[in-house]
Amino acid sequence: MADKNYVNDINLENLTAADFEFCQKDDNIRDKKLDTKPIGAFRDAMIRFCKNKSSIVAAVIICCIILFALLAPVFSQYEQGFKYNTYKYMRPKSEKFAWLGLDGQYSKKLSVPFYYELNGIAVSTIDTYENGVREWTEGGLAVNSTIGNQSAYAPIQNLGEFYGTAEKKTYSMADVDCYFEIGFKYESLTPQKYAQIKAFEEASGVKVIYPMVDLNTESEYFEGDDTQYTQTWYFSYKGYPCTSDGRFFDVDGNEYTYKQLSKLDAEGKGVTNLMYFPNYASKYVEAGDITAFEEGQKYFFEKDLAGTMFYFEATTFEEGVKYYVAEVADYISMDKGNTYKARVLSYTYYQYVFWVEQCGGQFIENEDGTLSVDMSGNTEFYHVPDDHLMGTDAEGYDYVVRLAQAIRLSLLLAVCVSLINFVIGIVYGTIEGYYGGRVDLILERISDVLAAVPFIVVASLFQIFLVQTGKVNAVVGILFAFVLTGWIGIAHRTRTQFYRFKGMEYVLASRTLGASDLRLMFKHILPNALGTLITSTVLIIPSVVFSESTLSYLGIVSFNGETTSLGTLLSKGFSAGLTNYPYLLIIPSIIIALLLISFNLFGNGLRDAFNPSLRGTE
Amino acid sequence: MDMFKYVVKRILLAVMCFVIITSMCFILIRIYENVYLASKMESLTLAQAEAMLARRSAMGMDKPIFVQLAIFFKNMVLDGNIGISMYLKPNYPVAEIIQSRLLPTVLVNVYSLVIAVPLGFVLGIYAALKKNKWQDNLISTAVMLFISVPSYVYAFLMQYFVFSIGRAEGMLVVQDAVVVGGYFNAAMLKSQILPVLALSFGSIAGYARYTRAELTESLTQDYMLLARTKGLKRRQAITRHAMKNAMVPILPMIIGEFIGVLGGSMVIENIFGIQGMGKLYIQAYSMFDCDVFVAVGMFYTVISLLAGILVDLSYGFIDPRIRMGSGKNG
Repeated sequence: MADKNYVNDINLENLTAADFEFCQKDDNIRDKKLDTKPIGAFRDAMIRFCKNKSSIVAAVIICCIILFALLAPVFSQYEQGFKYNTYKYMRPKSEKFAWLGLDGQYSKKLSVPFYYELNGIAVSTIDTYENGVREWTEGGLAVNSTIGNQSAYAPIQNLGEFYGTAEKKTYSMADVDCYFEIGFKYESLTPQKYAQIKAFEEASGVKVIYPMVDLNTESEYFEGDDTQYTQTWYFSYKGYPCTSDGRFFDVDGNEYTYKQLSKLDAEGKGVTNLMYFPNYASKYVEAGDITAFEEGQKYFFEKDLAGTMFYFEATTFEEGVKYYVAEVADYISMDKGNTYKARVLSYTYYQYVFWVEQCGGQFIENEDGTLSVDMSGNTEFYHVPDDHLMGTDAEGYDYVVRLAQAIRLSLLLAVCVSLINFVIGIVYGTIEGYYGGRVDLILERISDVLAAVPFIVVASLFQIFLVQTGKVNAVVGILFAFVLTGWIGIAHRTRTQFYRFKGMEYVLASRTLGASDLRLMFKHILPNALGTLITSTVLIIPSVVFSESTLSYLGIVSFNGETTSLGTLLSKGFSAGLTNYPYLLIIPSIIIALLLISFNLFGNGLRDAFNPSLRGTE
Repeated sequence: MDMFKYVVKRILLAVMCFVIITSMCFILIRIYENVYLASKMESLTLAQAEAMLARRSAMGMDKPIFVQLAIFFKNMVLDGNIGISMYLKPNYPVAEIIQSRLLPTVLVNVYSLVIAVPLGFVLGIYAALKKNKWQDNLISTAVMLFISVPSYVYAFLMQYFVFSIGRAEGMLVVQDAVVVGGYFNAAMLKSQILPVLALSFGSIAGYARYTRAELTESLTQDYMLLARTKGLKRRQAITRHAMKNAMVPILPMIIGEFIGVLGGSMVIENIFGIQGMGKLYIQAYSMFDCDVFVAVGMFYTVISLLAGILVDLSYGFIDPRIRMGSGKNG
């Protein structure tokens, strides 16, 4: 601006000789250094690349995606290999981003039995008697949802009006929290682990293990004999619901204790007298320990050998015979006491698992052989299990970590492929182009044949021969497939460039000065071609990302276990169902699309920057 | 005559490529077949294993590998027999299986080509004529987007869209021709809408970009200036000179695409459950039906070779300069 004004200020029409001065007349500038730095080809390309806005944006997007891939697992509370099998296909939920609607809830049409089941989960987790709730109907459950709402683990968050009355099939729309919806499950625990959980419960105040289920109570809502069914424990003795600590109260508030006895005979078989009997766990007692029970009273007996239950009754006790005392208990002893089958709340059990596996929770053994929590270590028990920003995938991995892993693998593969192709292509193309003649002819035929092989066939053959026979893992197999034919494009470009430059005078001059073949190839001719070659190398990256995602989507390449790629995520998202979990499909799709767009833009920007004919046109 | 020589040379080269690739594929697959069979034998009863071995020897699969290869080529040349399916459709000639799978693939791809070519042309020409105006910028940006995003992303997005507006009935997957009775009826066409669209977006963008690039180049040529100075109107100059010249590289591209139509898109076929070539390949791969696998591999090889030859030759047919050039210089 200033220069322009200056020109306007002076009177250009009446210039005199005095207005001019020599800028350099007698100075000797032979040995003077240049004031400005020389701009080389790459620097020039860099300057021009920076002027291309879309390429810069693309580069920023690429950087963001790479940063996400690198940093997300670092900042995530979940380590890469951590998964919780029960929480599969959980919806996104995050305390920090709840305002975005990430509350893990989804809308569901509930029938009345299903409503009972879900509300039952909530009711089961609170001590209904202590909370003053005694409105028991319908086998121990109130339709009134306010009871369930007192629970911190209530699956039903918002319940709409019930509608339709035909044959009890009444429905209501409800927002259901998928993390609580799973409710209780059976877990096989070692006695050691059981003790650990008990210690954890004591230290944290979080209740993990709940009393076993009375499977024999008949319900008009739950039909069939599903012994694995975990949610129905609130159907209980004589219709009185059980509290979470295993006591019973009738409507008047009278408390009942519920103890049962059983006996082993000489053959280890029981007298058959099938009764409805709570499926409670039992422990050995000697006959002498049961004096508390009245003689002559009817007791129900239970036998447990390798997990098989028999029920019988007896009225007298014999000296020297082993008896079981069955009581409302936390577990059934199976496999001769080596395994405890316990009923755990998925949510709090996760808290325990997470504390042990991810927070490094430690236990110490007390003098009396019991376990307690090592309070010197990490005592942050109240980890929220439902803090998955993008939910979890089909195997229970945190999706954010999984996505980052997939991006890493896909990009790493693409970069490796492009670098290897770059090197092979340059060497092959250099030899072809420089020597020409018969060498060129033969090498060209070889690359013709390779180029005609359909890529998908190559990839399949590599998978069949190397991966399925266990010689290399899937990633290396697919890398080989990409490298086998991928360098042809680069070689072709190099060859063309060599044909263009090898006859030039400067090459001849260099040769007459005694430059060797290698020096001519790599020092004099190749640098001319480097710009285009770099561009096509960069453009290999999106094509590899795309091909890899296609191959693993089609199942030709299968990554399993902890390795995953964008295509694998896509394929798993597709099998999860577009209707139920659209985000599992849309998130990897968008990431792939973003990567492809950005790399293409970036590559185009590079191409323009390296194109000498465009120099100075901007 | 030189042109003829060139054609013959190209075809011979292609045949050589085909023979080499097919032989490699055949040999590799047959070698692995032994390994595969050995692992499979463990789970079979004695009678089943004997039957399997008898069947293999009847198919000549216990002969030395190069003898098998010779028989394979002999059968292919003499009877057009390219093998017999082992597991996919047992004892069925592979050629018949391929025949039955071609039509669904070709139909969807031809529909998409029919949509994509004119649309791509129109957009490309429009963008070229409005070069560096907002229309051109809009089209170029859209083209960049659509060319980069893979077709399965459109497929997923459209499926989700169709589902969420509640019009998913009969649209999410392509109907079975046997169920709806033929390939040309309303139900079939309706179910083909989404795959055709998913395939089209990318190609439209591709054609538009190519057309724009070629046309902008020919618009700045000197002959355009000459045409205008001769007194042609802009429209006349464009349609008679610029367009004709721009078509020279574009038409071969379309010819190549027409051949490529046979191959189709595996992912789209997979997503929409089209019983086509791509699906056949995946099935043959996962069930390890070796003859079908080799045959489909051959099929894809032929397509890529054929497309290459036709594209190169069509340059000569379309552009007289190239034809004459090859005549003079040999």
